[in-house]
Amino acid sequence: TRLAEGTPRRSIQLSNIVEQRIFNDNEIISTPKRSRSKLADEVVDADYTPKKSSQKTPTRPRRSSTTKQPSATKLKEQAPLTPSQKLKKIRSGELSPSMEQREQPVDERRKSQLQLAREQLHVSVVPKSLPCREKEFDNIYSFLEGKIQDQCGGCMYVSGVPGTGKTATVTGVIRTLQRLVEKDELPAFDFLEINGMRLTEPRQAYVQIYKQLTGKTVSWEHAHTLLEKRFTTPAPRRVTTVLLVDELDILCNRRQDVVYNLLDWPTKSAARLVVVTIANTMDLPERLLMGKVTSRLGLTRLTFQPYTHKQLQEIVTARLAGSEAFKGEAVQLVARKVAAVSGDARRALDICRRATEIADTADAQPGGMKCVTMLHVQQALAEMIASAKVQAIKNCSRLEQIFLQAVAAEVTRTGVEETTFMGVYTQIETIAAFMGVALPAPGRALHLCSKLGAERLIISEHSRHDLYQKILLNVSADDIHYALRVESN
Amino acid sequence: MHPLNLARNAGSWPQLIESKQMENICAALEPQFPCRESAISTLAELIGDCNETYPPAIYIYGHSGTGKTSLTKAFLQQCQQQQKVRTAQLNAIECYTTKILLENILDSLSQEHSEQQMGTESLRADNMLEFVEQLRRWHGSNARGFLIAVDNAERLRDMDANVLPVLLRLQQLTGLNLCVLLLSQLPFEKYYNKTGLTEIISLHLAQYNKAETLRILSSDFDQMRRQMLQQMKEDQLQLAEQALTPDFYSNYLNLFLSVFYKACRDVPELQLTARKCFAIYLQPVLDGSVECTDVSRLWRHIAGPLRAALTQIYMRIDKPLGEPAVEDQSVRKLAQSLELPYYGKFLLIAAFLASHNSAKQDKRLFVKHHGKQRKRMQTVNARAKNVDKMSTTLGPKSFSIDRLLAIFYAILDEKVGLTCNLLSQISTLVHLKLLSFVSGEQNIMDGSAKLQCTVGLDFVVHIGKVVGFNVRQYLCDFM
Repeated sequence: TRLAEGTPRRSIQLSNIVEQRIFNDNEIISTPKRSRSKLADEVVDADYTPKKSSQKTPTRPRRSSTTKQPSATKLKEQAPLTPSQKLKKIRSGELSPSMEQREQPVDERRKSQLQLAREQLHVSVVPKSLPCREKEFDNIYSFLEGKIQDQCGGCMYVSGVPGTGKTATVTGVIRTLQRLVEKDELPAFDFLEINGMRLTEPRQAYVQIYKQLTGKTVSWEHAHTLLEKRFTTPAPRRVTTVLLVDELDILCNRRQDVVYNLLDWPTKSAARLVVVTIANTMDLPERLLMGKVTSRLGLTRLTFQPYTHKQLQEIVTARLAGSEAFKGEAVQLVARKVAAVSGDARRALDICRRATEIADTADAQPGGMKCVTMLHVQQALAEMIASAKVQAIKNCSRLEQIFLQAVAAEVTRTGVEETTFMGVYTQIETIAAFMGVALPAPGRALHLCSKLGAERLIISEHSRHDLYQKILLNVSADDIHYALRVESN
Repeated sequence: MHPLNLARNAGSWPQLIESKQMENICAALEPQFPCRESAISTLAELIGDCNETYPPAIYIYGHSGTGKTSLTKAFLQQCQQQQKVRTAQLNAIECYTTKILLENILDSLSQEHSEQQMGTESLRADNMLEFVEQLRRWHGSNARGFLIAVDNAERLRDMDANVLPVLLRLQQLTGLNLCVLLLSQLPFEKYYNKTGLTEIISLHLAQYNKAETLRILSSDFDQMRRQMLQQMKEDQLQLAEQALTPDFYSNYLNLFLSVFYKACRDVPELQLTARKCFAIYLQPVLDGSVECTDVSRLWRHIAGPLRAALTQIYMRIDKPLGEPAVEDQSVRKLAQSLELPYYGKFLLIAAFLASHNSAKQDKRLFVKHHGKQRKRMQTVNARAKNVDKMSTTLGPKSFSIDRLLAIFYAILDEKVGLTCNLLSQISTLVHLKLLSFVSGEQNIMDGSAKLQCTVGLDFVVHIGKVVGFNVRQYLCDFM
């Protein structure tokens, strides 16, 4: 049953889903956690609570609220919350979203070496220190440390193709800096993080930033005014805020007001905001952003080059960390193949993991130890890099193969890439007569065409245009030739 | 029966019952739909029995008037009456949004459901997901099967892109014993979209041949006879009762089809016309002038009216068939009955001349002292070659309002002022759909708007006669 059925005036459905997740169907979580760290709360209370004028110590209301909460939850257990009450609590950040827990994770000691290697090779296991990114680490570190020490604001633009360790390096620097703060070797700072791809709309960035500051969810207009107030009015004991903006190009809309605001706040002296922006393209500021936005972004830039094969090899070996699950030359093969294509570390790790899976299913060697060899890696590479188009053509039915041949023949005959179904059908007639197979009726051939179109071997229109629909070949003519010739031999 | 067959049937007792259910439906439907035995039995084999699994979708196609809708409707009704099946029959034209389609299906599928539990409140489904979820809730309800028939299914292609693919695999998505019947006049080849569709069972309802048409038309003899006899007067009743025999009627239908079958095979249309003409056919018999067995004389009587009726087929006009309606006369009547003002008629003629003469010829046709024009061999040859490409048969070309007014002043002898009355008549002609805009509808005033004349030559010639203007004289084609 739906939770929202009782309250017709609320039509927000996403929150219902959240509720179901949290409450597991009407079961109430008794201890609402505080979602924000202590640091953030201090900042919030210092600037935001309206009681600030009346109360000098910002800690008191919080403490009172924590003492209140247990009793409140007791009450709640007696009378379950209505959905609107739950929604209110979620919006004010008093309930933290949690996930269902499984009973018990698998015991660590039972895992084989290959399994351990596979876990180590997972993309999500970010190592403490990224290999081959020391220079970039130093660069970002010195920039951020300088800004925090000087207590001023600034911007930095980090770019590079996907999988070159941009976000990992930046968050690694932040973690190092936070450790320094704990040791009192650096002034305290506040770290916020938004990702353009996690926002439905650029303006939702305000909501996310404000949510990370206070834990409250408000409308974007409100969040914008509150953030504007915070960053423009000077306040004593304001700490530096480091804002990481991932996928900057998604935040660029036509007006570019969000990007402008995010890059304009650091220029205010009261803000003490350091913005680190990450994107893929190197020339994004010049190509996409307006002049005033590019100007505010500044010239502090850093480009992450794609990994070379040596670096990829180093990364994978660092992940494996002394495990003997991989042969040295196997890692080298992966590194060379991936570096030649994209230099993407994720890709290299994924291929290595696939290779461990293949080795796992393969028969154990006489030595008893399972190990990833060159053969396994080659198989994994063939799976993950090689195109499946030739296989698809080989596995087509006879008439579908004739259809593909006919499209290729029509393209050679007319010299134009785009053919019509009518021309293709005359070619089918010829080929079918030549091969001595029965000619499919045009309706049947349309079915073949739509099947091939759904498999993306050709690109076709809706079949309502029947004889006049346009057909493009989506595979190369050589692929068809190769697939059909090799098969017949 | 073959012994092996017998043993198999005896071994599986439910099968006997099942085949009985199928037979019940067939037996109920076959009298209603003569000449559709094979289609009915195919349908009954596929969805006749709710205890068996239905196919996910059936596509029934055929020409108009082949009984797709009525057959499916009767079939679904029989299924609902005899078995625990819920049915829904709807028309895709009525459902101009997905939501209407889905809620219609839900409403008709849940009829008894809602009466018991929710009263009159109808179920809601805003999108496909909710629709499928609603259907899934009916697991374990007392219905053994669900049948959904969508008429005019070609409209489904124009709806949201997910409608047709979801309907085709609704059985798989909902897990219910459910079958979707799609009815249309197109073959299924016209439905394949770019992302592919799941397989569907096609069932073609072929058009009836002459013998089948005859059988269908003669199947309502009894009803027709009763109707006829009710209308008769006392003195004719005796004769009519004698004459109205099945043989007599089928003789008539034979004559009727010999004229009509070439032009029309649409059974409802034929039925309608056959009824109309039968009264005329019967007339000489009732008068006593012709014996009811004398076929050749009856044919001489009916041949004229039948040919006259043939010109009126598909028109659905209730007119006495006695007077032959020559096409020329009807155009003339229409032209004469069109009440346009005097200048309006001239404007229409001018528009016709403008769209059927090339602008090059304007100077020669309408300017008084245009100088001498030499007749060139080239032009004569060119015209001789293109004799079948006359501009009156090729269709109208577009012209500007300036050219229209220029021709208007040239063909009108008197000089009238260019008043707003005159200009407003152009727009009136456009409203009456005698002229139409080709382009530039937004900028009429700056002169770039292009018009076209949409009436035929005959019509304009008649209008010309009314105002005393010879149109043919000014057409290049007739020079």
